[in-house]
Amino acid sequence: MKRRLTKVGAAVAGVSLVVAAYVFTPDFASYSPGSTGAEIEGVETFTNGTGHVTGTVTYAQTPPAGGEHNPIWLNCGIYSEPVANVYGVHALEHGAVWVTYDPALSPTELEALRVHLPSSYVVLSPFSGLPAPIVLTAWNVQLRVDSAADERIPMFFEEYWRSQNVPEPGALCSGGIDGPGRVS
Amino acid sequence: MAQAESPSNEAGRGGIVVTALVTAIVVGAVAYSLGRMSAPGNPLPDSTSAEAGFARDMQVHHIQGVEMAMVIRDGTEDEGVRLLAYDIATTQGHQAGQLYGWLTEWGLRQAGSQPPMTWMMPSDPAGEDGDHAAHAMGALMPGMATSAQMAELSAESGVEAERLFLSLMIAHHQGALEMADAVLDRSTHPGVGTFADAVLLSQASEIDLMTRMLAERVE
Repeated sequence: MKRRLTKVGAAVAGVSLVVAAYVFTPDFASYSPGSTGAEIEGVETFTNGTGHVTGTVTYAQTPPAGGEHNPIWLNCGIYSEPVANVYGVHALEHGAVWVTYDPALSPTELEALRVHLPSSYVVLSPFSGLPAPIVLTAWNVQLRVDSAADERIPMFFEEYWRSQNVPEPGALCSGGIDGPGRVS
Repeated sequence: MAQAESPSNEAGRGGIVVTALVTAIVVGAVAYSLGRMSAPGNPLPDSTSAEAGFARDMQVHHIQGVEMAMVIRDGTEDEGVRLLAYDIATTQGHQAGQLYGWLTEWGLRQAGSQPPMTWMMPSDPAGEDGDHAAHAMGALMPGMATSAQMAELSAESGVEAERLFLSLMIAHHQGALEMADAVLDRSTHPGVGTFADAVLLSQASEIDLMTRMLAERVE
């Protein structure tokens, strides 16, 4: 009787050991690398080419969110005048976020918009014929918002600024060409 | 049922209970240890960690370093300065890519939800001296050139440009030392520590070199 109990006890202990060791093992850290974009409401995604061309290009999106562009990239910065699309698209290819606003946007709104901008890898410029008062564009992604107070603006920056999903992540956004009306 | 047991049987059952309890405790402890030991050692830094803040802010810092080096390489014909610029641009470009890769591997975005330099804020601002006042949230990182200084560097040429570059880059490197020190104070991550040590070592010796080069170019 005692020997049988010992055997059963040992078996239970052995099985418990295996089960408990499995249960107590913490989960391996799981993650998915950035820029999935699924969670920001209203973000549109596109597929565009990347070729270098000279001359003007007709773009599929307004403002352009990718496509063929000039070999020279636009230097990131704050512009008070519209910048040429063919240079702006090249800045997107390097990971910049291009923030465009309707020229009729109030100075108060423009100032509120500037507060959101990081110190680098961002282009701010007016753009005539925008589909919304403010449009945020990164390579192949775009978000239209009506106001600088829209809480999706910081979310868009967090998700897409210097994304690894651009064709040339890490390429500089300086050393290219300045557009007219560069403020800083 | 218990009333039917004889005293000797009761003593035997007590022994079994004690044995079972001890066995359960031992099994539990061993299993817990096994489980912990087989788990990955270092958890990944999260988005508001000092490691992530350093990886983000040091990239911004280094990328401006690359830009400054490229500007002076185009702006002077002095071989010594051009070689130094080549060295700085390639080193800092490589390191910026390393930092970018860390964030990707850690499953983090390049942009944080907090303003730049938040990770360098003292945990107890009142207890710190004025030295840290410059690290207000969202402020320019230590040693960063302003956009006016960058424009001036691009506009100058020859020895004037060299002087400006050297003084800006000395300040820039000193800022990097400050950031590397700050992350070493706040992190035990081995990869981050190795990186920060390399920055401290190489940039301190470059500051010496640039100080000598600047002295050779006094007006």
